[in-house]
Amino acid sequence: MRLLLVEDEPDLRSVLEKTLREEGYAVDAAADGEAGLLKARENQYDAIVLDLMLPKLDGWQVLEQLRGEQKTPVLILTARDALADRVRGLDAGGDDYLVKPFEREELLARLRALVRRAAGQAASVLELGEVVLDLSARTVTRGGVPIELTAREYALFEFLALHRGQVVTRSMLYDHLFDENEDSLSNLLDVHVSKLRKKLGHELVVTRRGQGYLIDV
Amino acid sequence: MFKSLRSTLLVGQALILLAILAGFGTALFVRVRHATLAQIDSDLLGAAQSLASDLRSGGETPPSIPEIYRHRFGPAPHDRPYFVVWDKEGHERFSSAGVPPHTEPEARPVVKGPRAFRGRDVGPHRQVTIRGPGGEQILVGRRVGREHDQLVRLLVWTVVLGAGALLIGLLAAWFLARQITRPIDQMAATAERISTSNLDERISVPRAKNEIARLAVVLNAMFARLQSAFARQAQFTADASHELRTPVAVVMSHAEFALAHERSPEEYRTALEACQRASTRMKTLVDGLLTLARTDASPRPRDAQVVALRPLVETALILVKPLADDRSIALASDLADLNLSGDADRLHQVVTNLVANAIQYNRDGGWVRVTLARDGNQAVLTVADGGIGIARDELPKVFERFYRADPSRTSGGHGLGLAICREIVAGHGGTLELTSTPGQGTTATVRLPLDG
Repeated sequence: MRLLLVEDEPDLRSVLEKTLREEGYAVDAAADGEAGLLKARENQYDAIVLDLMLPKLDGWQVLEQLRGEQKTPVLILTARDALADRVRGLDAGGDDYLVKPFEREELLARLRALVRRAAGQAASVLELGEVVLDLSARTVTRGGVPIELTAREYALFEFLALHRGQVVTRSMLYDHLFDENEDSLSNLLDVHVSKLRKKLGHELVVTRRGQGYLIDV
Repeated sequence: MFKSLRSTLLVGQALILLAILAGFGTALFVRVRHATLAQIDSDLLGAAQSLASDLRSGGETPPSIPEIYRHRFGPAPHDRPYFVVWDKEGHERFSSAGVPPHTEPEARPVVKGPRAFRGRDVGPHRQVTIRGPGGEQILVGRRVGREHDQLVRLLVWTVVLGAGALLIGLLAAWFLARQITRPIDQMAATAERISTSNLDERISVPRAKNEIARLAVVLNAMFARLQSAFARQAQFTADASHELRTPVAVVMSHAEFALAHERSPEEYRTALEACQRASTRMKTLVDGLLTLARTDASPRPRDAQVVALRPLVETALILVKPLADDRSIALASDLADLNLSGDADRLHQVVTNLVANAIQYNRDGGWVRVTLARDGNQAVLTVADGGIGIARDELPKVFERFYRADPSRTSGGHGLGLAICREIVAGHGGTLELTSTPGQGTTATVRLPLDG
């Protein structure tokens, strides 16, 4: 999953980047509204974390422009806690509103929920034959046995599972699993897919030659 | 102890009315009684003089009271007058019917004179004694039952009418007191509701132009001021908490991140440094809030002393010089020697703040010029810069608490500086004004009275 973080306070931006990366997200960060809007237009994000008080373009303006173009879920993360601000933020197109200071657990849970809903999944546990994916605990079991996955393998599997029944192209995977600073080599993706097949069963991830990958259970 | 205005009014009114009626009734009764008794005496005296003249002319023939007096004394038998005549030695010479037993002559002789007489009351009888032509004592008397009855009737009527008047007066007083106190009661009830629940409500002003209407207007004005003060306070508190949220979020997030897993010393260091920066920011903000709260609480300098302005400005310039040097900004000053009475620390804060602002909103290699001069009996301090300036529509807002030229939180200041400066200057009886041309620079002008 790839996130965009728009936050002008440098100390908060850096720690949020680290926290989200640690959770397996690919994270791009922007320090002002203009840069944030630019990145949101250039890349495919699974969710955007947006501050409201931003230099150049404020959060409401970013939302206004963004909502004319795309449906990417937006979590507003702001110090503005007044009822009027919350209503305005959600009405402007925000999908969720979290007031600073916030608990790390809550931010992460809200982001998981946003991504899950955007993918059309209501439950946080997905059953794919004998393989069970728990999105909130970030665990995978096969026939009741826990399977150890690396962060990258997990991200890949999560993305494919959330889009089950759809062919996921290689470029989609590049867009959603790597942030802008990662030097992603194409064969790296094949390596991750083959490791995933070894751990979860060869028939789970189907390759559609020339198109991409598919989980269809 | 609560004692209602209405009962106070009522009791006061009752006491006054009672005193007036009692005084009036008593005076009336005493006057009438006195007049009645004088009339009785006068009639008895007339009868006695008639007897005396009978004695003078008639020798030994028994005298009698003329019919006309009998008529005046009343037709009833018990109203009939009687008389006794004693000679000089006190022996009874003549007497009429109806003399009460044991009637004695006056012990002391009656004085001489044209209308000299002695009067006395014996039981229900009034008796008048005069001196006869031959030194006799002539006593004429009668029961005064009729007059007595009249006086008793008068007394009863006075009391009854007085009581009636008192009752009517009290009813009127009660009604009046209610008229006066009812709007006050209503007003008190409304005011109580307003002060406990919502400050939006207002007391309805009575149509009559009286003291109560004025009180309502005054109270409403007070509620309006209270409401706006509360609103300002609430806004201020909300702004203050809002300002604290971001640094608290920084501290929380870094602490949570650092504690989530085992980290390298480098990572711990990064987290602690971020926490330190955030807490420094919070400290600056809290200091600013505290200063503002103090200037709000006591706008006038508490310990005013003689302040030499020139060294004060010079110290402030030395303090901010490193900031100017960092960005190659030239600091120039032209300072006159001026003294005024005030709070040196707070005035120092004003100067430092204004000069630091002039440096912060400047361009690299720009200039800041500070002047201190006398204008009449005012000290005039100007801090001018050739910086970025302030847009016309932004200018009135710069004194608002938490206002910042850059709406995001990156600029570091807490947005209270100018608000604090203005409060301090106002506390010294002075003014602080800003003029600005966007792109050319800003001038802050502080005027402080030199006397007092």
